[in-house]
Amino acid sequence: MFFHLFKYEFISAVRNTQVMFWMIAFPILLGTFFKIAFADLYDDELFKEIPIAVVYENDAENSAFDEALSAVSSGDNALFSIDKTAIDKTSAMGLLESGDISGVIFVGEDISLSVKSESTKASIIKFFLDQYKMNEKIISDTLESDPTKLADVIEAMNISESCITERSFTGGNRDPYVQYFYNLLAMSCLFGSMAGLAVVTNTQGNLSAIGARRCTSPIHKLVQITAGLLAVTLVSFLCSAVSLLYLIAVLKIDFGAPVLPLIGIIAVGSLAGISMGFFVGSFGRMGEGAKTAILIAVSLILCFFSGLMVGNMYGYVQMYAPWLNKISLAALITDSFYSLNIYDTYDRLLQNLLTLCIISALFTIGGFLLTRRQKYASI
Amino acid sequence: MRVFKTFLKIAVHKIPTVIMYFVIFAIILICTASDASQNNEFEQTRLVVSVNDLDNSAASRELAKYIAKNHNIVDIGTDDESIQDALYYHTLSYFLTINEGFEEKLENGETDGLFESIKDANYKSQYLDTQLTEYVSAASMFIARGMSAQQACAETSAASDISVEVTVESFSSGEALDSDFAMFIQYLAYVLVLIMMLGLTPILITFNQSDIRRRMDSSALPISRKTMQLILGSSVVTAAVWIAFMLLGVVCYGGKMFTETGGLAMLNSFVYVIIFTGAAVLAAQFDLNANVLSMVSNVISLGMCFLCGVFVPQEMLGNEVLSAAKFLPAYWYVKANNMLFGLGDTAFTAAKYMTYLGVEMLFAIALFTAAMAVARTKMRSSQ
Repeated sequence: MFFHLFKYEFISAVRNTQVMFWMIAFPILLGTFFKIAFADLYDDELFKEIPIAVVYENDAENSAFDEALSAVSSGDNALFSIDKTAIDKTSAMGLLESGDISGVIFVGEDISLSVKSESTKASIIKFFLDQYKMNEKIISDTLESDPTKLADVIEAMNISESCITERSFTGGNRDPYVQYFYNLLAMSCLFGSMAGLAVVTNTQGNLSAIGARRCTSPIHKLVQITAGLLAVTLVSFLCSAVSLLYLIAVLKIDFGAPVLPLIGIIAVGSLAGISMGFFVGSFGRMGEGAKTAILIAVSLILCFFSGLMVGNMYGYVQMYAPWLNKISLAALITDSFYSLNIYDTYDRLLQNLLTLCIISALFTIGGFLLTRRQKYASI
Repeated sequence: MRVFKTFLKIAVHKIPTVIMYFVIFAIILICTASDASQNNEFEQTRLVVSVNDLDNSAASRELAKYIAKNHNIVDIGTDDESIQDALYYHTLSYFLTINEGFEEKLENGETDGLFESIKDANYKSQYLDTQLTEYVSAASMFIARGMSAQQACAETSAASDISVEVTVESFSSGEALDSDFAMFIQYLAYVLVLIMMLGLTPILITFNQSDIRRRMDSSALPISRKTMQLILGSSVVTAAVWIAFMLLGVVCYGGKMFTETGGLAMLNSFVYVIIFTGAAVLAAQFDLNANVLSMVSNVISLGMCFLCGVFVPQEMLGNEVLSAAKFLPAYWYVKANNMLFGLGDTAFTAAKYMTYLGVEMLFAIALFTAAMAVARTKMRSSQ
């Protein structure tokens, strides 16, 4: 009888259009939109030479500035690339307007800068110009106060970049936009809660006609619910796994880890989502509509705080309310993907998965306690 | 006017959905509008930096003060896991360690290995790299003039106040650029679609249900008058939604709504809302239940906004994506908005702006025509 119930709960869940849309079609569509929108963002953030134009006003000449500018615009670590097509103010401003260059430096009696908007690129150009003026002042002050030290001062100016040694972390895909896909999968797992709710609805006499019918059957309720929960957990897991495989195989998202451990996270995440739906479904006497609204709201709020809508939200929660990241299902699933991607050790991953399992167990036991021995005098 | 009155009665029942989206949008807007007053002068980028001063000398403390003046300092501890997490989630831009012996080395003219950095290879980290290198360069120049390392660092910090003149050029329609106001108009592209599809379509679906439609068609009320009253009802709902959002704009941005730029932006949003009145009328011709309508609305609104550059700037989308997006109305809405606020690659001209609005109107006409065609086909097939 257990396998009979399992089979029909499985078929019933697969035929539930609403559940299937939110668990499989929506993550796939949203994942495709994310891919379209975020495809080039990380590459755009990586440092490349900043394109600029230099305009000499009234045929002004400033060889010292030219020398300083060409020093930072050549070699492997060049800061700027100078656009030579901008021959006058009009053409330079045209390039600035179209976004082909990030700033126009005007060299005349004084040096000034035009940019299109405030940005880090604009700040780098401005800082270079500020620094040039500062060095110019130090040199002219030295010339006035102690000309014998001028050569030493100029030599000191030309230090190399080796004053900074870089320490980098190994392994993983450091593209922060991948975390949107972690959250997408977390959302897919949590939307499985609606299937968990359907299991309760289908076994409670006050919530559905099929529930009333089942209450009259001689099969133990524990068997009914266990078969139902296992069937929808399998459906939720398959849906999330299909979404994951679509992200990896079709959209070519680099999760920085092999597929099997990722599937493992999905399995635990699906279990957590279903158990949450089961618990909420068992709690109180609200109708299915109200409970569905609660589950969608809770799932989306948890996903918001783990970074589905705002990329670095997980980091901010970690700064101001780290306890939330320790108990939020979405944050735990997201962080499991992240730690598998970034860290060489599995301590943090296992800790997250263990927490998810404990929360799932608590939800499931709570749900069983709330639904057992329910009797209806009249429906 | 019975049909019109019934239309409004049903509209009142649908108000909670509309209010929910309106309130969520308003909350997000008010939160983001709170720091809108910092636009007139060029402000340099401030990074989030964590400084671990192992030297703890007078010179290193001067340097730490200089960094704190130009950036926001946070203490996230020194363990690798915290640093790595903070860098990944962009709550930290740069972790700087001032190595032991900084002051002594600087005074002796040795500049190699003064600092250790942990960062990502982006513009922000390059910015601080450049600042540190130039700081050491300037301090070395002061030391070459005979100062101690501490004096040199103090002098460098003081001399860093020298600044060139920076102009933030405006390529918009003439008034000062306000990115928050531009974003408000931009995000309307998302919320208006959802509200029109989830607010107006269910009302029209009620009238399109076959039993109700047959009952009405068999009454003494001419079909043309029924249609006119439905059009009037849809127009009232459309106008109410649009006016509500414009009032929200007035609350958040005040007089900016009534400038030339504000007026043109309002006109753009008005044309856009008409397009999705057409889409709502078309969707109502199909017997969609609430769940299916919710799915369709979410897919259309999110898909179109991601493809057309509402959530991510158009200039960052690929050419193929933009070519496909040209067949969607939000593309032209965003393009007009970008041009109006000087955010895109096209300078504002009234003629171009009106052309974009004209393209949007064509979408509206196409949707209304399609809705009429579907309605007529359904009517014929039912006869």
